[in-house]
Amino acid sequence: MADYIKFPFSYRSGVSEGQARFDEFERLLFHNWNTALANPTLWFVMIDSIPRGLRYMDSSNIINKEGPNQYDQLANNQENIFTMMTNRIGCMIVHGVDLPMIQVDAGRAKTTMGGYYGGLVANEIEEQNTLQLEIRETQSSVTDFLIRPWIELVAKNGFVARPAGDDRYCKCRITIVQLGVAGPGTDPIKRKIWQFYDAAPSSVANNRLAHDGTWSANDQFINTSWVYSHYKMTDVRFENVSEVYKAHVEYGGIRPQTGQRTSGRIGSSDGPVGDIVVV
Amino acid sequence: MADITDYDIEHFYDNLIVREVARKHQFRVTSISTGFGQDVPEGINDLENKLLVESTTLPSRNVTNVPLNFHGIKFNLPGNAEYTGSDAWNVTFRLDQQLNIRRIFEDWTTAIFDDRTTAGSIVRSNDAYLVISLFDQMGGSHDQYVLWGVYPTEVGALDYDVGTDGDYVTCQVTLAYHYWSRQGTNAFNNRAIVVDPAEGGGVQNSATTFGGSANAETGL
Repeated sequence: MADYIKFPFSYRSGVSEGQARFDEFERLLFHNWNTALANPTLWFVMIDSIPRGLRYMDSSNIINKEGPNQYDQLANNQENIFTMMTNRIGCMIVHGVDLPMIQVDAGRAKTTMGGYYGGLVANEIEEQNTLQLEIRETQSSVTDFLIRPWIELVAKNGFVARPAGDDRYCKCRITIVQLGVAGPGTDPIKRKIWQFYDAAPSSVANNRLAHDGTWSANDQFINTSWVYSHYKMTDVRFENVSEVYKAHVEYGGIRPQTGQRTSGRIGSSDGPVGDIVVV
Repeated sequence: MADITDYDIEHFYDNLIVREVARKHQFRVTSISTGFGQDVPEGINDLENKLLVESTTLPSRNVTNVPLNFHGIKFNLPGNAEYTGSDAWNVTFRLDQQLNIRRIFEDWTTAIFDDRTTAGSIVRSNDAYLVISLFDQMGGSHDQYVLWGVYPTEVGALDYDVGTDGDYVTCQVTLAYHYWSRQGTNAFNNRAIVVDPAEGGGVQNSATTFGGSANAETGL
């Protein structure tokens, strides 16, 4: 027992503990899909619907009728924006997303005894933060012709439970899909899906216009805040990705089908050695 | 197991006979399209202008490296793809005496943004492209590199000097593009260019595998 305390377990087993730790790091980070480092740039956003109350942004719209602000947009331009926002392959004008934090109010109790620290106590969970969507300012402005009147619609109608077909319904579902690569020639896998329910915009950030200097794309990203009732997270739905990924890493000869490849030139070696199939 | 005799001088020469080596002059810029249509600027894709290309580089592509440390060791993981230099790809032209090629590029930059009238275009579609064709010793085109979404960022200054002995004037043009793709032998690409407007023009999406033969006009 004394030896076991003094030395690593390899002292008796003959297996280097340091080597085992090194190998395990490599296995997990490089050979196992589920524990490999994720690529933070592979994601997209989907918005399931736009409130009916925002349609027909002319004098017939309730927001324009009641004022005081007025929004005047041609139907075709609005259709462009609506279609783009609700595209099922992703809303392409969302540049960035700040996912909400979560925390519980926990710490030591103030009550102490004899100078010792107080015991640990946990209070309620902190209110969930808002979802932030950074939206690209485009020629036909989404932030000014969709998000701004949407916020006014929220102010007028509130979040009273109403059916989705009601003209006063002003909520939507926002889905954020995070992707993970699985192998060459293979579509990325949906590794994590966030779904924010009953979401609605609550603010549009300031946007400064100026005549000086050059501009970059960063100047055209406008932050918007969205509230929501709750979210659901879904893990990857494939159970065998790790085996495919591991085979790809360990047997580099596995390549996509010839028709999917972007390289390769010399005669007989062009054929795929093996197939990568994610089911 | 590798055998050193596989790497002897005989194999080396046999290999050269079969595969040859690439020569620095075996390239041409074979197609330029501004995306504005045939007339803006006029003559950009004329053979007389493309013949004036003196030198350029085949653009690079790299995968960013993501260091990941463990016990002080830096493991290197692949990140995202980057088209290094896609914001500043240089091509040097020999100038004809009346500077026609330079004027075309000047007009192209003005078509993109005219400071006097605030006219211009921000559309950088795949109808704007430049094709670099590479040729073998037999004059056959074996690869075409297509720079997509191309536009000029700088039309370079010209050096004039009365003290020189008749040196010709060159002009460096800097172009930006989104990314490039390769077409040619055994290469797969999902975009095909049909340059001739009579054949539809512009870019077509397809899953065509291109052969090694090249169209004499377009190089594709």
